[in-house]
Amino acid sequence: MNRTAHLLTAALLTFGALTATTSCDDPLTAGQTTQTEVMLKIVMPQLPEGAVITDQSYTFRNVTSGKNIVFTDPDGIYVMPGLYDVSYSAKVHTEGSAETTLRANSSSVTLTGASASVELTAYNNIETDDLIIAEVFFTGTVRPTGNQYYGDDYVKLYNNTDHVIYADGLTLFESRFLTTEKYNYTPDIMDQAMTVQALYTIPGSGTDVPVQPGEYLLLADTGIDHRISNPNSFDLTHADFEWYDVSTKPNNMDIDGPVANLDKWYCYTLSFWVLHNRGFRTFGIARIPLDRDTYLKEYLYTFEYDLVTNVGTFPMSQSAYRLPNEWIVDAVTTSVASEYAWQVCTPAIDCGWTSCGTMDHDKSRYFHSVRRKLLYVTDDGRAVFKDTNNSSEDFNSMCIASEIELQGTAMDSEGTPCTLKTYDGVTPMP
Amino acid sequence: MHPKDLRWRNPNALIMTKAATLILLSLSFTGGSIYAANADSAKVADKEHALAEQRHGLWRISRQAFNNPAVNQWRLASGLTSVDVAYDYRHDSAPVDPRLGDGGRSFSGGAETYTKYKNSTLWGHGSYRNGKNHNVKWNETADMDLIYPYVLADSVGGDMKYEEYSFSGGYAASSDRWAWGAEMSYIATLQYRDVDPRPRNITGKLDISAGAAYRITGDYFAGLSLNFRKYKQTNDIDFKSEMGVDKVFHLTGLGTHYNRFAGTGLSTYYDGYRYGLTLDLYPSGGRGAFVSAALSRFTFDNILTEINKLPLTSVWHNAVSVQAGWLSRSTESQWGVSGLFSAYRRHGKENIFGDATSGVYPEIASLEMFADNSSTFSAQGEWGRRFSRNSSFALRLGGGWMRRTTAYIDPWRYTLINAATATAGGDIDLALPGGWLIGGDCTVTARLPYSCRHDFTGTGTDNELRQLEQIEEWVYHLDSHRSISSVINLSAAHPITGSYLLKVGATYTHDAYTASVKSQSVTANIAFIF
Repeated sequence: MNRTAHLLTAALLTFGALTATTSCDDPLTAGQTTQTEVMLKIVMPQLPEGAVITDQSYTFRNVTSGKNIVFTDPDGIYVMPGLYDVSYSAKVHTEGSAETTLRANSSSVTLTGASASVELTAYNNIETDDLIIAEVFFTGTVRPTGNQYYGDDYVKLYNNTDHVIYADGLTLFESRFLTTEKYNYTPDIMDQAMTVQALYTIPGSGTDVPVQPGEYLLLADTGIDHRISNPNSFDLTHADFEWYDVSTKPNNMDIDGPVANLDKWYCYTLSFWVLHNRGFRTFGIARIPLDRDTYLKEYLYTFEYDLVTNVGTFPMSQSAYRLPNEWIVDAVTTSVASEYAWQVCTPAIDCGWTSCGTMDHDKSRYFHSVRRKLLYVTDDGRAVFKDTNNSSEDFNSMCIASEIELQGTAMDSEGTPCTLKTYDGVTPMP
Repeated sequence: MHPKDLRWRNPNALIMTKAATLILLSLSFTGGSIYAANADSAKVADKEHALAEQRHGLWRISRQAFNNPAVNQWRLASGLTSVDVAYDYRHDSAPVDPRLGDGGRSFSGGAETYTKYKNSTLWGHGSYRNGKNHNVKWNETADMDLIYPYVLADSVGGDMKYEEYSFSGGYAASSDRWAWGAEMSYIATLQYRDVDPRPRNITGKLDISAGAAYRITGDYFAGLSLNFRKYKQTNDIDFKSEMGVDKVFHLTGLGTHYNRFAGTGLSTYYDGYRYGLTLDLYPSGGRGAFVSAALSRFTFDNILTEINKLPLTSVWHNAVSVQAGWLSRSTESQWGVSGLFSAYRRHGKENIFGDATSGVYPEIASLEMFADNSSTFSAQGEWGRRFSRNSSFALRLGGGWMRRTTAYIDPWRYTLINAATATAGGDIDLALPGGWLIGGDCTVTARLPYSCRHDFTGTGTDNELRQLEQIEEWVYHLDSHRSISSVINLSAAHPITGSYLLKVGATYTHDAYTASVKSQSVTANIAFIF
């Protein structure tokens, strides 16, 4: 029994030692995890003499957590280690000139370790005296049976200026690359041009399609009364133009409605073009200073990339068209939060993105569009919209489509009629 | 071993046994005279003694020591084999933890044996369970307690059906100086839902342990065992609706989620391993001092299958448990006391990935974001008196203290629970004329939290998750307020023929929480014992 007592004593000592060494309180406390100090440098553009910069802000969006942290001082910035989208904005006041916005941004910046350096090149907002994209309705509607309906997608252009703008010659385009799939495409031409796969041009000799200040130009997929096929849809017979494709696929034929057709320059599909119904691409308008045949002959772009799969890596080679950045008048990038991978155009054209829904196949996206934000309404009733070449800032995401508001048609699959009219999906009309 | 002891291994034999059980049950209630005419009363008394010992024996005081298979051969003095079917029903007046549902039901059937032959002991178990949990919210995975905080979830939820297959077997033997044993168990679960969202979870849990013990003095054996667990769970969530899908979140604890991959990664799996050891000092005669210490480390990775097997998160969980006490037995009475200290530290790590190119995400950092640490002290004592060989009663008293902290770094979330517990209970076995053995036990446990704190003020990243945050706050609310749990179990066993017993039993559990929340469950079972 003596030995038993010794063993028990030893066991109890072990018990005591384990008790003493196992503390319950947790080492994880706020701020204890090592943060990364960010050394931020903004490379400024050439500004007019006497320009004053105010309202500087530095935004760090943690891609992993989705959390935004805004700083007003570039010194003493500490963030959790991770992947960030870093952006900078400031106001520029120049005597005798309108206020402009300085912007800089960089996506997918790795900030890890004790400190990390970030250099952003700022650019002053470029104003173009042309039409802007006011709305893109790419999600479509849903039949009362719950099935998707195609063909009622549209793009609305707007004259945001105080003078007439002629739309003829303006080309509606869609990016070749998806915002949800990033590959290292070579040669990389993004600083010079955008890669596109659909080009439809408004016909005319230069003065045939005037757009008055504060007026819209509606470009529809199919300019018919869609309510006949789908009571939950709306009428697009009043569209200004439609994009019509002569399909080579008998099972997938396009409908040539009573609306004037856009001039089809090029489209990747052999059937008919519809806007990607979750977004995932950049849509834009451009003025191409060449005729169709010359452009198609001289601006073909062949690119290569590696396709990495579970069974191996495959070198790929494909072709599309390149659209020089200086020809692009306006663009809006669309994606969803769960899938967004990269920006498919240079930040000078669009440094943000907007969305309908938050993930791929989001069932809440139908009947919704992305609509440009209202800045103010002039005394004569003309709406002025925001245009800073940043779709994240310039657009309201997930809005009821304007045609649904205007026609009071269904805004969900249950057929609930829309009773509210807004300027931008948010601000009600009087 | 007699062939009938292995009857549960043969499915056909099991079905026939169940059918015979039902027939014999009817006979036992309508014509108890069968026993009077044919029973072998000595064998029946042995079985009833074994049954009483299994249900209410002193071995429960030193439960931890039997994790060593070499020691497990001294758990019960005599063998017992049973085949049973059971029905479980649970209903919460309000969901205690919505992630586990607000109720459920299940049918189960199985067989169990603990058989002794000379110096050898063989034990085994096989069962099948088929059930449904009602209104499960924000949890589309199985084994949430094992994989928390990295749970796959959505805001829709619904009823969750499941099937569980469980098998285990062990063998131990001893000589004058040495004892040795080994045990293996496997539990497989299929969990699914027939409407969107349609999760399909398959789990596999394989446990292997082997141990030995050496007699150091008297009947005291010093033992060592090693154990290993392989755990895997695969998850696939499917949507059939043409309109699209609901958002699926990869939760990261205390109402947070991995924002970057929200809505993606509908196919995932958890891959885990546990290694552990136990050290024991145990008297093979079941009288005297005992000490048992267990150490284990469990780690698992949560991997997104459809994104090139992206290792999203991982967990390490270290646990220590030490139990020491004293057992005393005589022909008239028995008593035992024990003290238990257990603690664990569970930390979760999130991997951070860089910009994906060609669908491949490079890992750029790894951050320990979640912690769950707990310590528990408890003591219990039992005193029992025997009136006859199979009639006895026992009283139990216990008390304890626990402290648990959970934390999440960014956004900052924190909970601290301190609680005292007090337990009182008793059980009784009565051998009545005609071969009846009536058993009953009742346990009441009061949980008295104090000095609890929490901080859920850290701003979430997503309004969609407000509902989940409310669930975490609700679970904390119930956990940080007083609760009383009562369990009543009644059973009656009766010999039916030869040395066979038929047992019917029912267990009622009533858990009362703050805010008038009640959880009630009933289990009814019929067992054929031989």
